[in-house]
Amino acid sequence: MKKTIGSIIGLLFLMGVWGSVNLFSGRVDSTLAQDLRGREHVVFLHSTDHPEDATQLENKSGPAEIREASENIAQEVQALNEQWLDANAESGWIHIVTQWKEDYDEIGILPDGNTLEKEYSMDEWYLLNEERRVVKGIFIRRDLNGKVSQVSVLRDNAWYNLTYNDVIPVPEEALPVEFVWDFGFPGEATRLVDSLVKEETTLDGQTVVLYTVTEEFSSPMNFSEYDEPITAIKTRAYYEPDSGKLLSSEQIMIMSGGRERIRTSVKLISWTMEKQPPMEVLDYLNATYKETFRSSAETTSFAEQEMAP
Amino acid sequence: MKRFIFKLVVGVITILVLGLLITVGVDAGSQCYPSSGNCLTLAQYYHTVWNNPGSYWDAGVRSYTANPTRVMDDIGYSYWTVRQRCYGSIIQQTNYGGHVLHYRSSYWAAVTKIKAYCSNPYARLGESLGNHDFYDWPYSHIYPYSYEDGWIP
Repeated sequence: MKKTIGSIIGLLFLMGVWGSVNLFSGRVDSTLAQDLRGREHVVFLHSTDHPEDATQLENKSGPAEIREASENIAQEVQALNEQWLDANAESGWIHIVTQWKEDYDEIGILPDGNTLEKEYSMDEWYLLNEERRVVKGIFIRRDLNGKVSQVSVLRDNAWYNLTYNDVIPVPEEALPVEFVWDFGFPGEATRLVDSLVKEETTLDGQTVVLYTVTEEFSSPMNFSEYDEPITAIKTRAYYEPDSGKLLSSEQIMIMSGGRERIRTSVKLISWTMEKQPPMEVLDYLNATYKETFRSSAETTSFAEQEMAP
Repeated sequence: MKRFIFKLVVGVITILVLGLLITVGVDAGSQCYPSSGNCLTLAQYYHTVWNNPGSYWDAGVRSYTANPTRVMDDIGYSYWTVRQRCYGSIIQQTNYGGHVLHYRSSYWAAVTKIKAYCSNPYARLGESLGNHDFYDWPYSHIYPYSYEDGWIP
């Protein structure tokens, strides 16, 4: 009897804690929660699976040896990244050029009415300190013809978008800004370690190591980017085995019909350490900022600007 | 008793960790409908950004009436934009044209999106913004604006 009462009290206490966490994090407004019950008509655009209901990972533990081998491969990925950064991310300016290609069904319209291009290059400049933190950064997006389509800058602990004239402060917990250049792959290798596969292959005539992780959904998921549901997401990363250089990465969508579509493909074109960027690049950094930039909340969509009452 | 306390502590820690993993932004706005001088109902509205620990995130839009709840001829949004940024640059933006429900007091829509490649996870921002739509004959439409963003590491 005592045990039962204890369990009930414990359960009530846990529910109380859960409610408090939600209220403090701003997740639930009790009035809204009541409104949501019963009377609510929920309209999901493209999306019918609520993420909490979806079993995210196929996280089957295999035999201990297989698991250990996979964990070793995940550590190897981390080590490759570290090796590359130790040798190629010293304090000073780093200039990285990448080539991007994307494939999804949605059409992206920017705040000025321009269409978001699906093939482009990125010109990234990072000024690193001795602790490998980013002091300043310049990010230039170019279309296939080399025309600048968007520029953003990191300075004074804020991201400034020079094309749309807005500013977003870097969150406290992310300061000082860490220099990361891995497209999140080492993290994915750890998260999806049971699916991690390593193989040797060739890329542009060069022998490379290819790592692949796969995130399988228990039932096909609807993402707004695609007209067809997706059963799994496969992520590939090609590394130069001796140096740890991340040469290329791809995020592949496995459609419910079995077709594969490469959502994002990125290829490293060059990585150089420089004394400083050319003047036209530095000009982006040296412009006067604070007075003229607005909050990102004020950067509305083109449609809103055109048609809002 | 010791066992019970241990279970309780583990439960509390689990809840707190889950709370940290799935973050969300909600910033509700409200105004009298049809006007402050004739407050028949409170038009309430907000956008949401949910981060999931995996490879996707969610954006939502909600419009509803309260104090008192009132069934509206039209309730929904006139424009809704869902955006993703990396290092301050806009790398994805989808604009949805107007959508309303008829003879309802509440509207809610959500989309699930794939997190775009961005090396520094704390430099990837999800945004949900736009104008809501409230209308009940013989009064006029109101289109209040709201915005929400959140880091989606």
